Amino acid sequence: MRLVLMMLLTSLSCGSCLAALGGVPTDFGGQRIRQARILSAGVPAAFSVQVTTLPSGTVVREYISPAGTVFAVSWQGPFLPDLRVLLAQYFDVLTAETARHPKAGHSQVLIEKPEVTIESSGHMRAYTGRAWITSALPGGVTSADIE
Amino acid sequence: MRLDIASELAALRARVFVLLAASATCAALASCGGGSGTPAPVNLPPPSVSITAAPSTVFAGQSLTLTWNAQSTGGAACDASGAWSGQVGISGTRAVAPATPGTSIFTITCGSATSSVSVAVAPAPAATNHSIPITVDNGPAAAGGALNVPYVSVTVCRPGTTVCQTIDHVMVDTGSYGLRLMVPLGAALGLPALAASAGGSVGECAQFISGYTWGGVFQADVKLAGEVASAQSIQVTGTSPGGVAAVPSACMSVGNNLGNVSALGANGILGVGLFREDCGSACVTSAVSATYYACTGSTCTPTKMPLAQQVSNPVAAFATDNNGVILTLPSVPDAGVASLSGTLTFGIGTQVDNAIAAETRYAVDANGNFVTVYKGSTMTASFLDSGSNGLFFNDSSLPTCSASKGFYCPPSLLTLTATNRAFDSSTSGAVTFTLIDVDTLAPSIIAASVGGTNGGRRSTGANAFDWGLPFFFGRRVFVGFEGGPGGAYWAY
Repeated sequence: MRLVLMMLLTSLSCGSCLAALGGVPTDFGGQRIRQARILSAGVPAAFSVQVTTLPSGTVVREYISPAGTVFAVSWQGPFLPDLRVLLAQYFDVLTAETARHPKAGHSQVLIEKPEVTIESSGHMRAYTGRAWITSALPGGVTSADIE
Repeated sequence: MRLDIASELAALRARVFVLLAASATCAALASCGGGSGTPAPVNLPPPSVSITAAPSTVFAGQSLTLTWNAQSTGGAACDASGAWSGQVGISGTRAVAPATPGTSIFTITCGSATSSVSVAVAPAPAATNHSIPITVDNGPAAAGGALNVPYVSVTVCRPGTTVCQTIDHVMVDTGSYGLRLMVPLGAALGLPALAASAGGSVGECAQFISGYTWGGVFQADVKLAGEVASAQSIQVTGTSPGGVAAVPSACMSVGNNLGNVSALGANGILGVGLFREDCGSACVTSAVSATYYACTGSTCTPTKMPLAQQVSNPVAAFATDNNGVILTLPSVPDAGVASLSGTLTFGIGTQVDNAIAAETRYAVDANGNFVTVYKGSTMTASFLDSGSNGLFFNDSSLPTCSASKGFYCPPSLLTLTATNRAFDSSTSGAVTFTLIDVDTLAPSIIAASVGGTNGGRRSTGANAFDWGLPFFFGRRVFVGFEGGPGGAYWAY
């Protein structure tokens, strides 16, 4: 339903850029990766999705607004992606929240902040997660659109 | 195995014509109309009896259950013969324990019908000590308190020697694979570092949802009860593989450092989940970022790692009792308990006392996940994880705690239900569970049925219900390793 157009990207305009969430899509530090871009349904398309399969087998999706900014990311696969790259400035929110270690530790992550929501769950060899900037979701787009 | 013997007489009586008196029986028969005195032919089921045995293969001295049911045999009792004897009812169950290796045939005769079941009785295995105690307590002193963490003691030895060290308070984790130690090992132990094929020695980054553990990979004999996993790769944090002190940045990009006692709440992790290796074939074919590294000079470089050298589930490397583990914990009252003891048993169906009995087997997918259906939401990436200290799932209708962030704090005890299902829908079963307010638990409580938040509100994709330690209360949970018939599975 959402798949309108798919094109292979052989390179990105900003080879040294690592920023993802809140910035431009990442090239994962120039790793050899497979990427595809998918446009959302609707005219004009509300967003596009850059799908990257990392060498580890993990699939990363970056949700890009018409203005070119990544407003959401998700991952699924046998290894965690480089979350410092993928979450960019929001990586510190993840580490600050998961560093809390009350008597009852928490092995799964659901962080709901006004600026960002981060979900991360799974176990060794099977990880899944999402993160999005609520204020940056394009009009008509909800978290349910983030696979 | 099931063997039915129908006697010739029974076959001849397959169709029986009975003269009916005009009585109450008549009311149920269509041919009874008209009130004529003509005898009506009626089909009655042939006399039959069936008997089954579960399991159909046992060790000498191991209990099995016979179940039988007779129909239309006319009598009120049946006769047992063969490997059992005496008069029994026309239906029932009985536990028996064949003492002699060989084949035991249990026969039941009910009137003219007879049936037998054959049970293969294997010689009892040599009595290997194949279980160790699990203790749920407040954790090692440096942990600063713990809730719902199952600990065991693990002994590691320099390979092939009796130079050993025992580490207490190692977390039993069905959500990971391999042994990781977070405490300094004695200098006298002298575990050899795993040499990297490219030179230097091997360092490893292990990934967890809540962070990473980094450290050198060493070779050790891992001893648990009477079992030994020889020359296993284990991870030891706080070490500098190849003399390199710096943690690779890709490893630190997973999250926080969990590789110390206070962050982990344990002196180590004993990963006894469904898989053998912590990485598997992915690390054999390519140098996966943030996994294995060859460390030499001043840098650590990602490297491939053969299966046999990966940090692996030590139970799978035992000479015997190596196809799975059983976690057994007593039930916990609603208010929680201040102490709890259980058992970690090695092997499934390999000893007299470790067979699956009434438990249901749930097959998992290639990721080690099965399906949980909760409040109409089908979560296909669900799993059992003794290393999670709560039941973690998404339910935005439940009140979260003000102090214990990420946990649910219902105002009174909450009873909920879910359904677990094998990934291929071959089995399913309902689970009833309770949640209690985490914030108001007394400080002395070290085990209680608590729950907390999880991601997983996707409309599509893999959502997870993480069944943490409270699920294990009052159950025997079998962890069937990959590689056996039918693949990896949970059973409980």
